[in-house]
Amino acid sequence: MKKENGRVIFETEDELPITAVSSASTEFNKTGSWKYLEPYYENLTPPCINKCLTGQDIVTQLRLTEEGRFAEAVQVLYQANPFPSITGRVCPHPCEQPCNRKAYGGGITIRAIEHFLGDYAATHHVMPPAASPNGKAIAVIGSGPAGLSAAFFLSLLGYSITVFEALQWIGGLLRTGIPSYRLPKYVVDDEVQKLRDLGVQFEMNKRMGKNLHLSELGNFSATLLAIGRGASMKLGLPAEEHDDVWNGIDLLQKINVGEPLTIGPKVVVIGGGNTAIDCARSLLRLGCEPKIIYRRTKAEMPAFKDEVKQTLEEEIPIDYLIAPMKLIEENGKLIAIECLKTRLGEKDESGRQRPVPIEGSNFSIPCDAVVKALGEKLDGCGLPETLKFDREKIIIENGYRTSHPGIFSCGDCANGEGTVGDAIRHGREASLAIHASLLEMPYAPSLIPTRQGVNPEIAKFKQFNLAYFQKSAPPTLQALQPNERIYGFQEIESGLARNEAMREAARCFKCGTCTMCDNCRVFCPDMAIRPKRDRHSYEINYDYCKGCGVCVEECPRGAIHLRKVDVGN
Amino acid sequence: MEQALREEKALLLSGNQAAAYGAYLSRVQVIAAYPITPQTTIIETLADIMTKADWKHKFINVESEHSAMACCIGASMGGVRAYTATSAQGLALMHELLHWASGARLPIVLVNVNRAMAPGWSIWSDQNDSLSQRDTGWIQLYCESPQEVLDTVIQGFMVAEKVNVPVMVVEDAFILSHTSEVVELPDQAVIDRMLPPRAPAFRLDMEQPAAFGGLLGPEYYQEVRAKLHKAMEEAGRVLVNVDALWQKNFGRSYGIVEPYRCEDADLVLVTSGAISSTSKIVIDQLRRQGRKIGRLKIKLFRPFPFQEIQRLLGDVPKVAIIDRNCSYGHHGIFFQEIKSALYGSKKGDRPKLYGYILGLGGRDVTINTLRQVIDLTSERDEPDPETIWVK
Amino acid sequence: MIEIRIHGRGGQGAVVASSLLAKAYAYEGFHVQAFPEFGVERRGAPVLSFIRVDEKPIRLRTKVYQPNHIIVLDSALLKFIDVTAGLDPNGIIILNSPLKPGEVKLNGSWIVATVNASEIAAECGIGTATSPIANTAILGAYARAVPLLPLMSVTKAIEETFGGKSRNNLMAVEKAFENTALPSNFVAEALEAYYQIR
Repeated sequence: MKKENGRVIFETEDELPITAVSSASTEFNKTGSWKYLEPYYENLTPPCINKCLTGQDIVTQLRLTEEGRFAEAVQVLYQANPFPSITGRVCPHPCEQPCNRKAYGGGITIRAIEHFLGDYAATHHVMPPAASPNGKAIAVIGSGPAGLSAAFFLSLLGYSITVFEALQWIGGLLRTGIPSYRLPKYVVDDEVQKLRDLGVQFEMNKRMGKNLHLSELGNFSATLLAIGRGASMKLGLPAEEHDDVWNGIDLLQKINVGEPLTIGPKVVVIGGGNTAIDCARSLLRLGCEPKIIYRRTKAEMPAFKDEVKQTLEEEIPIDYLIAPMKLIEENGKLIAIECLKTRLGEKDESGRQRPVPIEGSNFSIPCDAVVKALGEKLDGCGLPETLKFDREKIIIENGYRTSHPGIFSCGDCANGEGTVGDAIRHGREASLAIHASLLEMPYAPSLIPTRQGVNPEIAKFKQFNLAYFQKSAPPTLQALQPNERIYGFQEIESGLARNEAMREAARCFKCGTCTMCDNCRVFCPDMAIRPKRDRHSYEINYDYCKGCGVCVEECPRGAIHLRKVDVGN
Repeated sequence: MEQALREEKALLLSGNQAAAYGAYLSRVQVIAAYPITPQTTIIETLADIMTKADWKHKFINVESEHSAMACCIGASMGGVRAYTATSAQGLALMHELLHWASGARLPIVLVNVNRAMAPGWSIWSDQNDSLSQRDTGWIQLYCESPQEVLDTVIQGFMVAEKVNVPVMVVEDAFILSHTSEVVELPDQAVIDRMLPPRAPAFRLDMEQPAAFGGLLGPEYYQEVRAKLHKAMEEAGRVLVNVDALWQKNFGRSYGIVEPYRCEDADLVLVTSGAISSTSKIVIDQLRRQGRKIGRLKIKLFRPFPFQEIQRLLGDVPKVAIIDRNCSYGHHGIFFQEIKSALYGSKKGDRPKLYGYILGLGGRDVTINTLRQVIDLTSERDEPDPETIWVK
Repeated sequence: MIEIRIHGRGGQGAVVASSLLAKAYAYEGFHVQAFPEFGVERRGAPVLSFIRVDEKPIRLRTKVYQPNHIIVLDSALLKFIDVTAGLDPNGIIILNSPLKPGEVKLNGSWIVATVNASEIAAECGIGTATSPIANTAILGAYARAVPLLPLMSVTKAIEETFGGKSRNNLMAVEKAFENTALPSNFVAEALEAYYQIR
């Protein structure tokens, strides 16, 4: 018996074992040196995460939900979004739009799962890990979603937080702007209570410039302005100040906080945004006959598409290509609004086609009241003069700093995009910016705080191995029918049951994300793949990997890729 | 004997119960089996012993005989003593793995209860099931009494572990498997001396990992197989020694073949299995009548006892061979084997061979059947070219 | 050699009776063989079991064609089975029946012994109230009708086989032994001599 290059050679019959048993390892043969391509692991960005307004790690949340580990899923949520029970209801969920599952039975209802997790967090009182106080205090002005989000994250960084609110209710537009059929008030109450449990202090009826001045905030290490956009745009028509002409957000506030109200019955709502929609639908529930007029077409409406759909289901008329011209009074009472028909002209600076009134197309719509819902702008009253702002926004630099030292700003007042999700992201980023500033460190925002090194490459459907997935449809979401919902403010959609949420989360492809499913290890013909010690990823032994690509082919979700081998090496 | 019975050194046992006690006394460590009539009472008896005796073992329930043998192979590779039992279609289902067990040189002992192959369905005895496995590389031992079944299971392990070749112990369905007789239980302490715990030549070992049963190229395959063949030949010699040791310790022996009143015989009846037992009565009857007739029982079918056959039958004028089986399109299988053994014999005047097929599918082989065979042989100077099927 | 055939039905314990009887003979120093009818039968169908007894080792491995003794566990079988088939003209029949030997319609030269084993089994609580199992009781009658086999060996076989659960069976065996009805001309000594010679 002799050895040649690590190989055992038997020279006589006697030397042979009695059966086929190995006498030496074949490891000497580094077959991996024959390789044109080599595999490597790299998680791609799932399309949902790419589109998430708050930057949640949706895939990890769904992985945990699938396994019934709801509290852990909520903790992952909390890293980006403190208020899943709110966003689970009102966020337009752009994450769902690019879902790769759409091509295979139907997209994942991410919002419904978030709704479930939010309610789970509330009913099970799931709290984020508490921070030890760092002895510093920060003032947050405004208790809307941006302010509350910042309060949450700053608390978790150890700051003691006082939130100042101009009104007597906490929540900003969450409470005064969004109707209860979309966001019940108890949900807002629960989330506010969560902040109180974290130690956040609230001071109500404190309005900047009136009974709250910068000079009173000297004890705070920093101040964050998150006052939103409280001023309504004007029509620019005579008689606009008439009692029967309402500002949309004022009307919604009255309705939402339950103040007595006399309006209608015939109400024309002017505008195509969410405020217009919310006004019209709320008025319908109060027994009015609302009608929406909008100067562009349905395609240009900035309101959430689902909301528009539900509005039409409720048979609220929406008339397009109409511009208001004149308010017609009779005996001090509004009786009609005169309008012009419009057509779409060239594009304006927003990229939308500008509505052009058509001469002589005048007509009037009889009505008892008009609601202006033309959009909101910054209410600059009471802001200190040392602060730079224009009619749209407070001017901020990198790191949410205003022109005034020690004052930061975020949310809609600081050029936010107007959604709750965006406000929450602003709140989180501003918190980190304040923290960095107080530590005198540079601030670098990370879009997805829970994922390391966000890959610019988005995972695509064609990268998946469909043999590992069954074509299946999303669950039917339980919702009130139009004729059941228009007589009150009862919430329209109910969430998923526990098992439905788990099943739906299981349907998720986990696009481009290694889930340690072990397929690659099992299929590798060279046994060159093994889990790393931490069991969160795999490593490849390139001495034996021949670059056959079987692992890439068998990865269900496109988390393994091939690259050319440097032949010179 | 009644004293042994009273002291429980002997029990009233059927062949199947004896097969189970053989496994128990061999201190088998792993049993994997799937029930099939008429083997079932082996499993039942094993279960019965397990509940009563302090027996360190693992019984693996399986979903088929193929899996049963696979489990035995795994266990035996792991270095422990493995045992199974089956019958007919069950043995046929194991076929591939029978090759594997012998090729991997695993000393497994299997009890096969000889049952006719279907269709038509038959639960009764004949030998076609075990003889169909002739070339799988298993030692085959045919028994004629429950006592012999028990002894042969233990002897089987002794031989198997010496030469690293698996052993098939064969008993007739019902005629032995379900017939109870007083069976002596060999003393456990003596058995333990004769059959110490298994010391495998190689085994699956986490400390010394190796690949088993892997690719064996044309440069080595034939040599490794030649080793199996040599081990088979060696097995015959080992069994002779084991049997002699048995005689010394327990006063019983069986031989690899058993001649009965063959001296000066001018006609020898060749038998195997339970028929060997009944045939002794016939020989005694005919000898009383002054007829020179003997009987040769073949216990060891693989390796085939060429030398013994040549020595014992070479000078006999007429040999009547009884086959409870048939190699369709040829003769009875024992007939072929004996014919081939004698063809190479140095004796120029080979005996005349008369082949008889009888008792298939459990047909009762009575004294009259056997006398018919002897009469047919005596009255013919030359054998018929065709094997005679006896009713 | 003595060959014994037991007639019963599937579920009546004919096979157990055969092994008990074989054991009992073995205690007396005989070589024995016990085996069931080689077949498959359902509960209630007629079944057979067999015993061979000899002073020499038993080499015969065939079915029993000409028994010396017949045990019938269920007299209803007489209506549709010839239980005496092949029976030695000097043979003995032990029948589970409430009738006296003279009342049993079996034409032949055989000795007929009867015992109401079912009633005895029921009294001793063997089997269930609806179907008493007479397979042990009838062995008491066998020992009475076949003096070659002492009752003591039958009871020992039962004790060895059933251990702690033997009591009722032993009671039944003894009761059956006492209550076995024999023909008026039955001479135990003559029979014993007959079997000793064989």
